[in-house]
Amino acid sequence: MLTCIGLPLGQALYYSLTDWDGLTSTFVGLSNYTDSIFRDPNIRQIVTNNLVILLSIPFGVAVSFVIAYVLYRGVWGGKVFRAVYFLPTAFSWVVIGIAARGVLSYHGGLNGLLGTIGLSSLGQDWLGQPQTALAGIVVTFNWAVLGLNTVILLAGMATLDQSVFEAAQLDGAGHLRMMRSIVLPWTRRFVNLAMVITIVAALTQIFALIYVMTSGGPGYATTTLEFFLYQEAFNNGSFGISAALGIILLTITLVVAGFQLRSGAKKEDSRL
Amino acid sequence: MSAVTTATGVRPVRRRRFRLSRGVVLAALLAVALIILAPFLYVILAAFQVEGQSGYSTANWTTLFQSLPLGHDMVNSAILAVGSAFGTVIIGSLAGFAFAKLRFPGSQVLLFCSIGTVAIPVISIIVPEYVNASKVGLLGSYPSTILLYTAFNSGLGVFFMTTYFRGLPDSLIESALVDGSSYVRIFRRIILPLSLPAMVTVGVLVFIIVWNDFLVALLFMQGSDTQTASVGLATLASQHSANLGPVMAGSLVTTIPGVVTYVFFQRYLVAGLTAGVER
Repeated sequence: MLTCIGLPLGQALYYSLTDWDGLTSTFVGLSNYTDSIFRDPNIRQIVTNNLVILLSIPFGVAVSFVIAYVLYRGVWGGKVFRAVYFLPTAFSWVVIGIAARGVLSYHGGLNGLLGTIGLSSLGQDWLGQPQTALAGIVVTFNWAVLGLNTVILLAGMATLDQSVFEAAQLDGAGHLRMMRSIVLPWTRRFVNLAMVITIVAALTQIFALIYVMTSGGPGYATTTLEFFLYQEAFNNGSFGISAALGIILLTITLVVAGFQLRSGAKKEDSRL
Repeated sequence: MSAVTTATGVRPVRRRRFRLSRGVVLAALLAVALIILAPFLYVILAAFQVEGQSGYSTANWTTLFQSLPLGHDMVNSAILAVGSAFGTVIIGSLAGFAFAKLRFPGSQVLLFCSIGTVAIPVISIIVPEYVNASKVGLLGSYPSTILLYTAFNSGLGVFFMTTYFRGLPDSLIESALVDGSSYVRIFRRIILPLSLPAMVTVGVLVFIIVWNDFLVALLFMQGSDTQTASVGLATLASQHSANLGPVMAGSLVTTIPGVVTYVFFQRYLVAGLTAGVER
């Protein structure tokens, strides 16, 4: 574990301060961070792409939350729905990307559907244009994590005391009110867990999805920091810059994970 | 005061509204289910249809197996996934037992470090990892790639097994110690049989993670001889950008092992995922 994680971590830190082509490295201080990354002509676009994906996550988790609530309160066929929603969790990002490409390509399912309902004028090459390509990634990503988040939130709701709902119902509380005032505060740790897992996945685990769907294009329209890291190293041979990108992603991940740990600890105090 | 009267007065209306919303809720759930399933139904259909032709055929499958040694690739995936699953279970259970039941100096720090590795994104360290492996000629080697996967996943394994072992009563071990058993014997005779469900969970989780992995396999198992199913499929997808039929067929096949394991072990996996927060 030390040689497989500790050593490369140290190397990543060191080489992020060097101009490194994989064989020789010269020490350049912080210039990978300040010059190469910060002044990269495409970095604004890339960071914006990351932000767009991140900003979509609360909405995705909110949808999961509502679905989990509905399933938790009991609905006809709930178990079947739960299994269906969970299904994409079993698929690899490669397969999810391929399925999404099948649907979104010019001769694909979505355009076919639009044609059938007489809206063929709306048909377009969804992954071939910057804006719709990014939207395609965002939708596909949230679609893929919906089931996992629903199941996590369901597990959280299973820890709730049923009698609270009976009391609330007697007081005339509606479903919206119960979700907001009972379920959300009492499952906060699970909501945070779902958020953190999804944020970390969006930042560091969708390389394969982007690789298969758009390869970061058109242009840099769907390149994220994670994908940029791969390109810098394995297309441009700029291993130093890519190591610096890795350290940036690591820092963000640790901050997000730290937030989860802290909020978890705080919640425990206030509950006891 | 007035709230009471309105509450009783409104009740029948509320009932009817509730019943109406039942239907709406069910329709919404169905709609979501359709949105979830639609892309995969499309994949299934597209796998049996040749673009520009009507009707169904198996032509895509012929093309698929001509252009990709999928069976061979899947064997590669299986070797890596099974090997890493076993590796992680072994490391996870041995370390987990030590962390949960033995007292030794620095155990807390070590535990924190082991579990902390979960927070390190693979992408952050993959570049130095790759350069190291290529320098010592370990690219394309099954054992070293399995070792890598095991290292990446053992944080998860250690966390899960430690949590599980902590739940086992200390008295079990103490009484065995009094009887004169060694720790090795206790581990083999008492702990191992008791913790089989937890080990299965870890193993299955790692199997699926490795089976579905792309990045590590792409970099460390290059070449048509050692490539995994995920990599073969993604390469095929980027070569055949116009005709996706064979790719669709390929993704159906490669998905089966993961999905089957998922369906069988779903309950364990959910329990494993939320183990940390539920306590």
